[in-house]
Amino acid sequence: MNITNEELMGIIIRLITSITGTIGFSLMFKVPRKRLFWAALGGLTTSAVYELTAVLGGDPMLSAFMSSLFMALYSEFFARILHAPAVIFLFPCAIPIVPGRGLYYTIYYTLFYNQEKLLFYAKPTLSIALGIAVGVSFASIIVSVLMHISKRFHEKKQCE
Amino acid sequence: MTNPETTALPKLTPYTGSFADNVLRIALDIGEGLLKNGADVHRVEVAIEKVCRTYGAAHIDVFTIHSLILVAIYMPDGTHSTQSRRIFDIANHLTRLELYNALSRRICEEKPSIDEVDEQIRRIKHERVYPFYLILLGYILAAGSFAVFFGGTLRDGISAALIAIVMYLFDEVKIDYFNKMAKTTLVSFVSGILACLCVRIGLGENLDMIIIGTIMILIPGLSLGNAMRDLLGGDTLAGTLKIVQAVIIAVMIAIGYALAILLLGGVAG
Repeated sequence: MNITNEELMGIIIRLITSITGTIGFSLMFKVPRKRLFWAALGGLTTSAVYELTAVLGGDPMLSAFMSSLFMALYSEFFARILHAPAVIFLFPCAIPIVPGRGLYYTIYYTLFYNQEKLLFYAKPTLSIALGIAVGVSFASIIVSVLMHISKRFHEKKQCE
Repeated sequence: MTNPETTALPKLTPYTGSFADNVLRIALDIGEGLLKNGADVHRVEVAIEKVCRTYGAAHIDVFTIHSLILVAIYMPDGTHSTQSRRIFDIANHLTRLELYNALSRRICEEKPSIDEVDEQIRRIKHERVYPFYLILLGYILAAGSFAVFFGGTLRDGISAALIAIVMYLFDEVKIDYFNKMAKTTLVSFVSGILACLCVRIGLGENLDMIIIGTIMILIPGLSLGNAMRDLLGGDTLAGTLKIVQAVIIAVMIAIGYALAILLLGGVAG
């Protein structure tokens, strides 16, 4: 795990901009004022998990999987605690791991056809998208199992 | 083009119709509010079912896709009601989503009178959490941050932020004679042109990064995410329709930017 100063600088910049970007998107989509902090924190921690796994493992698909798993569990957790729909946290948190750069280049080189570069950008983009999908569905399985267990111990809550 | 506001019920209506009709009407109002503001299909169906059951419906059939809710309820005394609601535009107002969610939960717990629920729904419809300058700030922050996030310089971020102001204006000004797809293409074309100009006059440095920052605003992220949730949750039809819609929007965005790049001959990549 060797990272140069330049890479470290890049990670710090990405973490800071992920906070401001998440806040920006939360404002655009009118996340309730009192949830703004938790949404921004989710964006920061999700991209922190992404960067950490990227530094440790390096594979974009694994990083996407880990960070989207974390993100979905984070938002389900705070949805239960704060009595809000999970999507309020899920959406702002998801923004920093959307492969915007890869998506742009993939479309760019599809339109201005360049096979080599198209493949170069399309592969990681697809695997990140797949990683996010698998991560979120994995989290939803975990959550539904946990809900099932907790329902057995508590009285059945009708209005959840 | 149909004005989406006409789908909302008139402000003060002396409601006629049976009890079943009225119950179903408020249930549909809540379902519509949830669906419009970014809920997945499963949540909408569960909320409608819970509301109807609270007011005593014996049998409930709900069918929901991204643009339509269709419900039939049967009361124990034999009266029944079938209503549908066409959903035109997605507003993605997450505060309203939370309020509708809280309302449906409250109905289930306290069973307030239908008039009271009606009043609440009317209040939620006019809920404004943020003044316009904060939303504008949101656009600026989002575009600027992501231009830098994906590897742009500070100057790229500033150019993306300036373009985001124009995009905000496009979103706020309601143009009735444009359909949604044409509008998306137009917005991406204009912001692509502006991005090229920013590079030409020397404000921005990397055309790609400016464009990526502004594209992040246009990407139909919430509907794509909800489509995934629908698909994984078993609502295959609703999920498929939403994914197709999101892909078409993405193609429209690509066409808009590609036209701009072709016109002004940007050198990217």
